[in-house]
Amino acid sequence: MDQLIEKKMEDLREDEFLINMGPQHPSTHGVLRLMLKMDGEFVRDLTPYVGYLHRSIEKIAENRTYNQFTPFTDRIDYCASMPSNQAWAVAVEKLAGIEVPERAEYLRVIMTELNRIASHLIYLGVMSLDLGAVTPFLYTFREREKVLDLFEMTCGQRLTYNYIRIGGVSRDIPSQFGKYCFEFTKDFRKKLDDYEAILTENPIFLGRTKGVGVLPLDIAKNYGASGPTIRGSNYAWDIRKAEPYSVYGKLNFEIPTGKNGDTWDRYIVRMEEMRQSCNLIDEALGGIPQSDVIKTKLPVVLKPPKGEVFSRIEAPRGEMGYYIVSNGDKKPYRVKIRTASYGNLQVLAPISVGWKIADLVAIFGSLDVILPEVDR
Amino acid sequence: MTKEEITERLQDKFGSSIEVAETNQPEPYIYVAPERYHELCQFLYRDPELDFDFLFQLGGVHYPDERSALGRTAPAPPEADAGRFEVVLCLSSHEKIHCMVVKVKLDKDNPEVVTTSDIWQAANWYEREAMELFGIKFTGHPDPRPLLLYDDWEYGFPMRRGWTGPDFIPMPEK
Amino acid sequence: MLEFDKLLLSIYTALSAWFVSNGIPVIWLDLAVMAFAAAAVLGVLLLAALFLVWWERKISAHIQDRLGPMRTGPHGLLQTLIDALKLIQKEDIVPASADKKIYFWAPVLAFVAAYMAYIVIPFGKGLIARDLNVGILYIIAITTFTVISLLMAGWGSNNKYALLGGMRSAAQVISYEVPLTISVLGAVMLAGTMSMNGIVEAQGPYFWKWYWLPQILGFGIYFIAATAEVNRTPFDLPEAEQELVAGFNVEYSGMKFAMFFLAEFVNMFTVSAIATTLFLGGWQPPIPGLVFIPSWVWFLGKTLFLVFILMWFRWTYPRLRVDQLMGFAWKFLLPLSFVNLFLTGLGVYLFK
Repeated sequence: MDQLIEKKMEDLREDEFLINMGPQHPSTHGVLRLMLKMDGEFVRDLTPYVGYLHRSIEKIAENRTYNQFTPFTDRIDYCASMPSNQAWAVAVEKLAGIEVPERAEYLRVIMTELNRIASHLIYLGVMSLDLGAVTPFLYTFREREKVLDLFEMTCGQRLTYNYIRIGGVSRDIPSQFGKYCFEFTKDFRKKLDDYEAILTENPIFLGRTKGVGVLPLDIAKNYGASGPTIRGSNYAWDIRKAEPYSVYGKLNFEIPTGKNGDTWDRYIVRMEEMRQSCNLIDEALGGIPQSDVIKTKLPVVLKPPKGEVFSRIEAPRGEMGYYIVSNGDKKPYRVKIRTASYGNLQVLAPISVGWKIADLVAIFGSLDVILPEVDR
Repeated sequence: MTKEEITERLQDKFGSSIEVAETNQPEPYIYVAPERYHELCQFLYRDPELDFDFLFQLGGVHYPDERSALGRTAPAPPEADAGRFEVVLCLSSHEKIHCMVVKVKLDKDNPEVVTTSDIWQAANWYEREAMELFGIKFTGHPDPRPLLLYDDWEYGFPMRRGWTGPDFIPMPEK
Repeated sequence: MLEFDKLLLSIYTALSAWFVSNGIPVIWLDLAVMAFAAAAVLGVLLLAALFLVWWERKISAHIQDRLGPMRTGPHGLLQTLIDALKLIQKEDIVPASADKKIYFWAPVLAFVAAYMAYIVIPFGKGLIARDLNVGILYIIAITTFTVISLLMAGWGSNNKYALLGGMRSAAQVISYEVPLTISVLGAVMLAGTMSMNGIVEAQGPYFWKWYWLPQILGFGIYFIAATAEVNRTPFDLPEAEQELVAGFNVEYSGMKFAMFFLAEFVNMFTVSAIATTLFLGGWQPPIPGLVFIPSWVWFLGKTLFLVFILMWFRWTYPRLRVDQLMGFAWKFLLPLSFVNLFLTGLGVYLFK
């Protein structure tokens, strides 16, 4: 690392300087170090240093059975634990050819969409906190408490659920879940309108985010950006619609897109996605089949056939997927985890060059990167 | 395009340099020789029918002495069991909505292959990770610094099978 | 009823008579009175700072749907005192490579500048430490001192972040002083005098005749410029935690940090007090019938109302970027304040 800094310092012109947005910083979402070459207020070059949260989850996976690995997947992206669980379950089910009962699929959809709302609420709170409006942070966390109450009612946990297991889900929803959930979605739509009233048309917010950090579509695709980041650039790409998994093929929802690919568009996309998630939850809860089976009967120690599999789902931040190599043993031979923030973070360098440091904070907030996902 | 169509198109163009792996997955799994790896990737990226514009992930796999987990269309020569590295690319196309997996077999003692970060910029970080965790060299990579491990890491390549580090305690076999 | 002016005047005349009768020159009495006034103003200032910190925490808490300090004293009233005691106990960490003299004097200067403006503020009828006949000019001159203290803090800390923060705040404060001064001139033209007490009395006892109505544009400009002067959101980029880790006061800890912090709140009170004096009729009640409520109660009420609005801004709006902030001052507020000045001059010429 020092060689890179030395090399950069040699190329510095007289009016430029190197500054570190160090690993500990109130603004970066996780532990990320950014080395900026600044010319006054303008960012001329940006180098991210990641790896502060590397927990070698891929190596751990080689020493755990398939079922033992499920709690680890929660911690890859702890803000969106349910989709992380689901990605693992979908990959192993694809490898071993396991059918999931329909009630379990509906429950998976409900939980994943609730978690999508929770994750986007974190995004909303942290984004407005970065821009200086402290109050929406408190409001979004208040809404998030209701979602976490729903999760606690179901599986006992508030943050890392270990709920979506291979072959189904671990527990059925209690009887009062439906009532609370419908109340929540009804109330939440009104609250979303309130948050939009504070931020969306606010001239200061618009001034900070409109036109800032435009992400051209070809850069997004080439650098591996996915999820709301690429949807903000006017491209309706969503794995739930393109390669439907679970029961998304049967449910009605739309994919919101932005027009210009700037920070404001990514914000609008996520707000609209929260509304679409509410619709999905209502529809799934209304149409859930009554059944007792929520998990396929599987051997206690699962031994999938020899082979390789690659599967992906739409997590709140983008495309998340696994590449698993199995040699017939009870433990996977190799697990390669592909997370959404890995691609999204690479986009930061090209699009933030030439903007000011205050804009860098806004752009980085809009990419919604979670560092544990990047480092695994 | 379906699995058969993709396979056919690639075999038309590359003939014997690629092998198709037998698998019951809906995506084609293609092995390519290291010499034609970059050319294949260029073709996959540029061809209007295939149009693989999204590199989903690029990873390394280490087989110290085991056969590949997939069956192969041609009988394996005995040297294949001497162990190898593999670089696996999972590609997908936004417009055509199909995916495929490209695999390259590399030499066990000196794994080296050309970089694809000039085709897909996403490969940049994936290759850095493979370089530091497996020791696979990607020639022509613009920025071969370690990504995840810290600066003074001197304990080898952790993701290789059979690696032990100073404080590494293996799981007890049950 | 509870007006202090007659009481103070009678005490002064009695004491001066006693001094003369005992052959001591009256100058000692005058000096003693000045010292007493300065101490009284300091007392008011510290009390105001303590109260405002508590009030900010309560207001921010209630806006954010929570309670704020509740345990130290009834409803957390003693919170600020306890925090100040805690800060006094903290170790005074001085960065090794800091410029010691500048580093030390920056917070002192900030506090002193904040304090000096209080000498000419009329807290009530006859309750003004010194009614200078160039009162408002004196205040404008004094508030410029804060710029020096910001630059000193930024430079003396020997830290890139602090320097960036200090320079940004200096640029911001200087830019917003121009529309502030010009908008104040409107009220001065209407009153015909620069003395603060004179401006209050020139506004008359009826609230529709106070200067907020004829000077509505000037009041708006003044208030916005004042928000920027005291570095409050939406103009608080110099202290933005998210970007520059608290800006110019990043290297300060303990009592020195407390000085900057208190100076900010004291400045908030000052600009609100000036707005009250210039535009809202100072210590006068809205209609003469309500004169039984003491004048200082009216003054405090109006000032605290304006402080409340300042605090409300902070917890509602995101912050402006530095170039947007400067563009707003120079390209929007300044021309507008000139328009206001022109219209006021025209009005004074036509209607007087």
